[in-house]
Parts: sequence; structure tokens; C-alpha cells
Amino acid sequence: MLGVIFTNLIEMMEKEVGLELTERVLDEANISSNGSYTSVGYYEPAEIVAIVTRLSVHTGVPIPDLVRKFGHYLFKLLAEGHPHAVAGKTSVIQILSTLDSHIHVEVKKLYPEADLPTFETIEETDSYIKLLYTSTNRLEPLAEGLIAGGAEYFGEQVSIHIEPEPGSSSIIEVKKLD
Amino acid sequence: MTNSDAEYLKKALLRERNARKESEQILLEKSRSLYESQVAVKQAQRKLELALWASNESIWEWHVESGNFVVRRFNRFSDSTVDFTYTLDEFFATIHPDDFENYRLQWRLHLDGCSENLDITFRALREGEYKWIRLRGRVVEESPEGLPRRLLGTSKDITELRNAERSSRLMASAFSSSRDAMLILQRDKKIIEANAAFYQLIGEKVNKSNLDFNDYIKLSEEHIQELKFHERVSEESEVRTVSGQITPVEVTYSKFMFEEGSSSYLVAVVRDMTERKNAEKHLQQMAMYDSLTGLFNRNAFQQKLSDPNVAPERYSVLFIDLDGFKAVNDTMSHEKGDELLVAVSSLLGDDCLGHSITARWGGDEFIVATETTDEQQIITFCRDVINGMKRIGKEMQLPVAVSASIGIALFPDNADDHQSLIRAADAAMYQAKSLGKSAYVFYDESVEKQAQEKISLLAELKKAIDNNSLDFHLQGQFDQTDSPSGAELLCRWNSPIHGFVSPAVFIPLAEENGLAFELGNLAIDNAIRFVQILDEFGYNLRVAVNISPLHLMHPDFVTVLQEKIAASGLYPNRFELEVTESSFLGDEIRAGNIINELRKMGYKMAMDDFGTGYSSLSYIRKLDFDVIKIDRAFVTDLESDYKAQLLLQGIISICNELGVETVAEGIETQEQMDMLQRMGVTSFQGFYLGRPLPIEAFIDSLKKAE
Repeated sequence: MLGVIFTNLIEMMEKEVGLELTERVLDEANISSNGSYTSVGYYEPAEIVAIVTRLSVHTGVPIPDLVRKFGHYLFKLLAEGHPHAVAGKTSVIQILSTLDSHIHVEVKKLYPEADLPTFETIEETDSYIKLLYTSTNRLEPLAEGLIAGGAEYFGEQVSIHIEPEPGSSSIIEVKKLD
Repeated sequence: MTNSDAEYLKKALLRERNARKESEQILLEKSRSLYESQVAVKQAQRKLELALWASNESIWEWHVESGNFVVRRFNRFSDSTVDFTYTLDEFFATIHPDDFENYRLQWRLHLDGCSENLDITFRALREGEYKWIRLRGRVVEESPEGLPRRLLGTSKDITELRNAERSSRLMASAFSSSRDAMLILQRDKKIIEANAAFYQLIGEKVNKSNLDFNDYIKLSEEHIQELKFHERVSEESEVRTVSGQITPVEVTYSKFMFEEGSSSYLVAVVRDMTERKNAEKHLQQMAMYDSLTGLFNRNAFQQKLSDPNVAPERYSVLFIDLDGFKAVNDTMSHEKGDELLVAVSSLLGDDCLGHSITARWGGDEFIVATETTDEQQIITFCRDVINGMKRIGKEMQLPVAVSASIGIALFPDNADDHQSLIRAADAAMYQAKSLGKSAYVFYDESVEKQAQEKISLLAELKKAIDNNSLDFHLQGQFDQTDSPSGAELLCRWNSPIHGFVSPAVFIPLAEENGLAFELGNLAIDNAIRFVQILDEFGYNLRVAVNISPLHLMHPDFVTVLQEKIAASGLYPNRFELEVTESSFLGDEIRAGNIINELRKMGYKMAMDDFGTGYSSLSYIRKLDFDVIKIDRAFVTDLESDYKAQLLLQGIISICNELGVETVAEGIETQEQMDMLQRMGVTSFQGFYLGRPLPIEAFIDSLKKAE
């Protein structure tokens, strides 16, 4: 998994739960990297699971909620870190419809080994998009959080519905609310 | 800050430091990896460039927006590439005018989306000469509106390929359209390819497959084996057509290898030899046979006689020369002459004497060789030929008598070889001619001697004419009062080798051998000289000169005569020109015209030997003669022959009535003289009155008579 996810997670944790809990969570997670993440590296997805699990224990917040929250938080950071990815876009649906064809292509240029999920557009209008989400890590809550973060970024109200499919896919529907 | 805070901070810092170190490490590796991938990319690009160079391809690119047409060429030893940048118009300008329209059409169709790929072959100027270029490519970038933005592709100089294809097509076309049958064969003579000429030759449908060359042509494997040592071999053979017809052919084989290591093939060229064979046959025919008569020619005849397998131990050769042929040719036409020759060849026949061959020796000469040596049988044949000639003359209504003179020689009695035998027969033939023609003579040695003598005589005569060593005498002519009225010029020849030769011998000899004109002119020169001498002595006498028919009819006769007379300053009326009836036997009309012309010029025209010919009287009627010379035969018979007297009296009376002078020649007695005077003859000539004398003696005799 991309290092940028981990660095942003640590940053969010330091900010939201403080340095102390962050260090404790990292200690308890018993991860080989010891939490020394760099955005240009790749790390085992299991490490994020271990971190989030320990964080859930300490905060009492369920894991999916934590992941969703992180996604929400992550979007803004990513958008700020890579402004050209959102340039000219006015809605999260636009982002989603060009995710595979543009944003992930750019990501691949920088991180050729990145194991990225795919977002295949099944149906799309200006205010609605139906996607087939496929990921080996099955991080639907992260996707949901990112979409919500995107909607907030563009100042939109959206409803997000995720329906797991057999295998490693889910159907994601995003509808813009007026 | 509490201790625990400081502890956590320390931990966080440691984490950050580790993260930085890790990131530096990652970036370092990334840099290395980036460099390596750049090198790999460069190598891949170079590989691609080399591949393009190796396949002689260039890359071209057209940017619609800039309008630049860039051709990039690669080379073998350097990474640098060469870019040629044109505007599209500049690029178009390099295209051959004949190919431009097609190029523009294809280009346009592709830009308009009508073709998926561009693929155009055209000629374009490259380094000053047109090269064949194949350009391929396609639109690789479009504007959001779907309009082409960039076209990319490769181009290749395919001139050599085109030339090779063209050459190959030419060769194929030459092969298929050759008039000679051409085939490509396997070693077992199975036909792989054959052109239309071959199928035509064998009368088979074109392109019938699985044919075996052996089925159509006789082939000898030995010839094929010779291909090991020779580049090509030829043999004459025969082709059997589908319908069974046999055609003579010449087959030439050569071996070739289609590609390295493959088994060899044979190329066979089959030439129809029918025409050549026919031509050869025709040539042989021409070499052997006389084209007019169809008889053997001289060469074939001699060949046969010289062939020991053909020539028998004993045989005869008959040399036949036509009499009168030249007159037919000259007076009638060459066609008539040819007709006569054909008629004679039919008369002689191919095998006229049994086991014989007949040939045309040349001109009007024929020759027969026969196994017959029986004299009587040969004589019968000769008589048949001579009689047959007369019959032909009648049938062809020839105005001239035609006959044959035949000389016969026997082998081995008269000669040791066929050449000598033919010469002997020829000599015998001349003997027959000298006997008055229409005769046959068997060779004996005296014949040869005579012939040799004749040859020697002729050579002497030529010399005498050339050296002006003939003697010219004058014989006087006298009127009724015994006064000299003129003189006849007579030629005498005292040869240093042969002694005195009679004019009856040397004059015909000169005429037969083309000396008539020279001899005649010599006579005229002497006549002029004599008239001038006579004038000097005050004798205004006319001199008569004999003009032979050949001399008279010579195309230059009148002109030369006039020139000579004009040069002498004498009047033509001082000369009497004596012609004989035989002058009219050829072209009567022309002879008459010449005589009239001469008479108008002032010459006295005399008819010599009057009364001996067939139709002397008719010539008196037709032509205006000034003088008639009565033949000496009349004079000789005068005293004894009463009929001759009456006839002569009649002639003289007629001449007197017509105002024509008469001259009697050959007068030898006083009685003859008396009778002729009584009959009214105008002038007299003969030994009785005066012998022919050299000019000096003649003048002396004139002086004495005075």
C-alpha cells in the first residue's frame, strides 16, 4: 500500500488523538516499520489494519467508522498535495468518473508498484454515478470516506450507497443531493 | 512538558528520522532505477532505429498545425538521426508528376477518414533522381473535434525491389511472348512451365498441366549429360504434335539453379526448323538446278560426273549449243528466248538417252551425259534434237531459224577426266558450228587442233586490229565507157604466224568474237584516208565500204561514222556503204531506219550480194538503195545458165526503171563483160578489170589507164 496513505493516517492520528495515543497505538500495533512511514515507500496493507484495530480499541470507535473518517480526512490532504488532480473539476462525481483513466494513471507514473483499486463507471449522469469498485484490500469504508471528503471539498451534498458483490468487488452509487 | 510528553516526542522524532532515512534510500534507488530505465529506453530506441535502418525504412511525421512534414532517416554507425523537414507543398513537389494525382487522392481519403491506413507507392526525387517510395502510416493524433492532428508512419525506398519486379515481369513477358517455344523442365523432363509458343507448336491447349516433354519430342539423354561440361547443348530433333504431325526442331538446353541449394532445372528452347529446312532445301535446289528450265545446273552436272559412285566406267557427253538463240533474244524478247530454252529443255528431257543426265550448261548451252556410247544411238538422238529444234522454231513462229550444234565426246576414249571430256565435247560442238551449224560432230583430235588454231588466230586478229596491221586494198569499178567510176575497199590480212588469211575466215571470226565494230571502224578510217589520197592525186572517186550487220546495228555506229567523216572534212557522198540482206534478219525496222538516216546524211547506200538472199526484191521495194551490187554467183553462171540471164536482165531492168545503179562484181572474162554491158549494168568490177591493190598501186593503175 502506498506510503502516502500511512503518512496521512499518522498525521491524522497525531492531530485527532494526540501524540501520546498515536505512539501507543503504533507501539501496540507491533508492526515491522515501527510507524516510520514515508510517502514514497510501499507498506503492507496489514499494517494499516493493525494500527486501525489498536486505535479502535483505545477510542472505542468501530473500525469502519475510523477508516471512513480517515478517508474523509485523506481526500482533502490528497487534493491539497496534488492540486492538478482536481483542477477544473467541480464535483466528486467528475472525480470518480475520471479516477481510473486520469488520476490513477498519474499515480502509476509516480508509484509504478502501487496496488490501486479500480473504479469502473457503470452508469453516469451529472448528478449520479454507479461504479464497480474492485480492490484486493476491500477498503469500501475508505472509499466511502474519500467520496464524502470529496463532496465536502466541492461543497456538495451526496448520498453514498455501497453494495458488496461476490468476489472482491462492490457496487458504489453516488447521488448528488440538491 | 511532562517527561512522558518528552518521551513521546522523542519517539515521534525518531520515527520521523527513520522515515526520512528510508525515504532517502527509496529516492536513491528510484534515481538509479530511473537511470537504468532511461538507458533501457535509449537502447530500445536504438534497436528500433537500427531495425528501421536495416529494413531501409525512414519515419515520417506530419503535424497538421505546423504544416511540417518531417522525414527522419537512421544510420548504422551513429546514434544521430537525420531529419529532413519540408512543408507539405515542398514534399508534394518532389513527387513525380505522373504519380502525384494518385498520391494526393490517397492522402486526402485518409485525412477524411475513408481509409484506415495510408499505403502509397510513388516516385519521388531523392538526390537528383526519381526513386520508388512506399509510404505507409496513419493518423495518430486527433483534435477533440476528431480532425487529424498528427500523421506518423514509415517510408521506404523500394526502387531496387521495383526494378527487380519489373525485370522479373519483363523476363516473364519475354518468356511468354517469345516466338520460340520455351520450357522449364524438371530433370525428369516433366514440364514445369511452358510458353504459348510451345502449346501452339504441339497443338495442345494452353496451360494444360502435368505434361511430359518426352511425350512430344525425341530426346537423347546423352545431350543432357553433356550439360555437365557445357553451358548449353543443342540438338536437332522432331516434335510430334497432338494430331500426329511431325515438325523438325532444334532444341537447346541449358541448366539453371532456381535458388541456392535447390535441384537444377532445365531450360529448353525449341525452335521450329520447318522454314529453315525448306530454305535449305530451296538453296540446295538452287545450287543444283537451273531455275528457268528445272534441269541440273553446271555445278550439279560436274559434281555428278566427278562422283565416282555415280559416273559409270564408260559414258558419252553431248555438248549442245543453240543456233539462232541470240537472234531470238535480241530481235524478239528475252521472254521469248526463255520460252525457247524451256522448250529445248523439254525436248532434251531429264533422261533422254537412258541412264543419262541433262543439264543447262549456261546461256544457250546444254549438256547431256549418258551411259550410252553406241554411236548410232547417239546420232539418232542428235538428229532428233536438230529436227526437234526446227519444229520448235515453227511452233513458236520464230522469224529466225533456230537449230542446234552438237559436239560429242566419249569417256575414256577422248579424255582422262570429265573436265577434259567436257572440253572435248565443247570443241566438237564448235566444229559442228563451223560446219554451218545444225550439225553434230564426234570429237577427234583434229577438232581440238582446229579449235586451238582458231584461238590462236583470234588472238592474232585482235593484235592486228589493235596494231592497225591489216592491209586495206582498193578494187576499181568502171562505167560503161571503161572509165573508173569508184572503188571498193577490201581488207587483207597477212599474219606473221598464219600467213595470208582469207577474209572469208577472219571476217566471220571477228564478227563471232565481238570485233565487228573495231574492224568496221578500221575500214572506215582507211576509206577516209584513201579518199583523201585519191583527192590529192585528183581522182574524185567514190569508195565503197562493206558494213557488216553487227557493225551497222551497233548503237554507236552512226555517231562514230559521222564524227570520223566530219573530222576528215569530206562529203559523205564520197562513201558508199555496202550492207547485206542479213542486216535485216534481226530488227528489220531498225535496220531500215538506219539505212534511210545514212542516206539522208548523204552516204550512198548499196545492197551487196543482191540475188542470193530470200527476199532481196522486197528490200528494194521497201528501202531506197542507191546501188545494187549483183552477186558474183549470177555473173559466174551468166554464160551457161539461160535462166540466170533472164533473171539478171529482169533485175537490171527493174533497177534501171527505179533509177538504182547496178554494179556487177566478179567479172573475170570479156564475154561476161560484154553480156553485162548489153544488159545495161551501170558499173563493173572484177579481176578482169582490175585486182584489189594497195592504194599506191591502185593510183598507179589509174594513171596507166589514162
